[in-house]
Amino acid sequence: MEEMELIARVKTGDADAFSKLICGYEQKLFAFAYRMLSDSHDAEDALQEALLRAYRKIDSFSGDAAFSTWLYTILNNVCLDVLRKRKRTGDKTHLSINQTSREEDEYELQIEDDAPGPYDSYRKKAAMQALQQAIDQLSEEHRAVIVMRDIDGLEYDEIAKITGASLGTVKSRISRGRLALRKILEKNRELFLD
Amino acid sequence: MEKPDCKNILDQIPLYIDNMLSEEETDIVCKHIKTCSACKKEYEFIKSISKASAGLVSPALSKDFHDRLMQKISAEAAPKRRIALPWRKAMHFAAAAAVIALSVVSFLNLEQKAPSANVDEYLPAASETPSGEVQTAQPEQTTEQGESVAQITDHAKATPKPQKTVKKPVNATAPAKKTTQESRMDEKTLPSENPPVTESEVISPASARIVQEPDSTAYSGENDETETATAYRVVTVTVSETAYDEAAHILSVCEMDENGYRAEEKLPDLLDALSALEDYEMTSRASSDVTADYIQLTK
Repeated sequence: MEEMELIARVKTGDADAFSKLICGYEQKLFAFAYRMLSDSHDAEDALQEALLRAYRKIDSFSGDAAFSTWLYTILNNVCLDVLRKRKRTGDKTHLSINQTSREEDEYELQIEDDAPGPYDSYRKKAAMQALQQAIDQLSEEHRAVIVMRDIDGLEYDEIAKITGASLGTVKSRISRGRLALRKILEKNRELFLD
Repeated sequence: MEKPDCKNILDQIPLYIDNMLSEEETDIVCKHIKTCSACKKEYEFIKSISKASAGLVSPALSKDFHDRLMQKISAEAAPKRRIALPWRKAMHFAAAAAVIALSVVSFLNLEQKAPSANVDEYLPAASETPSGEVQTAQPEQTTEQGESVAQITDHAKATPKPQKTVKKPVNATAPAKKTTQESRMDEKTLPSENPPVTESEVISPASARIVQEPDSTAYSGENDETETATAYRVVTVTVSETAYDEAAHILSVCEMDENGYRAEEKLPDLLDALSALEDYEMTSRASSDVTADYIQLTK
């Protein structure tokens, strides 16, 4: 069924239509929330909250932007609220959890056909671990745009719509975010260069 | 030793990677990194970080995530349908249904006593007149007992009549008045009985006619704007200090005046959205001083 048709049905209160509508977006949105919040449980809670808000506010979706963009916008706001609340309450537990939870399968790589040697695998795994920790150290605004651009592959104009910022601001944030990652990962430079 | 313009080049490399520089800037950066090994290494480093980011994998969503979500959605879907009809109109329909039900009961009760009457005369507001005169629905008719309408209306004038309302007015000062039916029954003009007059019987007896007092505050049931002393809800919502800005953002769709946020028909949906905020509390009161449903936000 066409997405717009499902949305029209959701606006009449059709919960089944909403189920079909968001089914295909859940994993991708979860991935975004996970990268933002560094915690699976928090990411699921944030995604639940975002999708509930989307259901309640479905009438406000006008169709001017893509539905995925609209969902991203809601989820981004929820994640930023969580991060700000953590900051206010001085919650630093997620940083320490981050270091232990990102092990084993969390650093699966897109390995090319010719399997790398043991050192290469170790190096790539270490690079990913360092990268995730570096992303976690970014400010909320930089983290959001870096995740959207470099991890989720969203275009600049879509990121602007999601964040409500101008294209110029998005460019500035991505630029500074990447330079911040460069600075944090300077000590691990050799892991990223062939 | 770093060339003077390498710092500027470094600042532009992140956007150069995505081809988001102007044509002139792109050309400058491209030429520079071809000739500057240090900047070239920075370009490759920043680019590899972005490329590695694309390879990050997230854990899978919980298998029961979707089911848990849909349980919450379904719980909201049912009341959402119920409150899709504005609550005030729902009350009006309920009141109208109650009148109809009571009419049927009264009709069945009084049919045994005095079968002839015009039930329609008991429906309020149709016979209201602005002139202040007591008005009857069918002045040409008489009851089986032979009383003329004029006699009935004389009785109506002579005795106080209970106020007959379809919807209970908020204005508690409305005087209670007896209908003609009740008056006649009190004065034993009906031959067969004098049962105690209840509100339900008064509303729609089948065997007599009712006189509608023109200054009654009975609800017309037809048009909200004709009501006097109409009451709306003023809902006070309290959230935590941290959630206050978001609450104000949610309410920004409303007009705001000295009474608060004019929620009107959006009240149920706004309260739904606000209820998700931290430390949400809500109290509600009826007020005849406002002309729509309002939300007052506090922290």
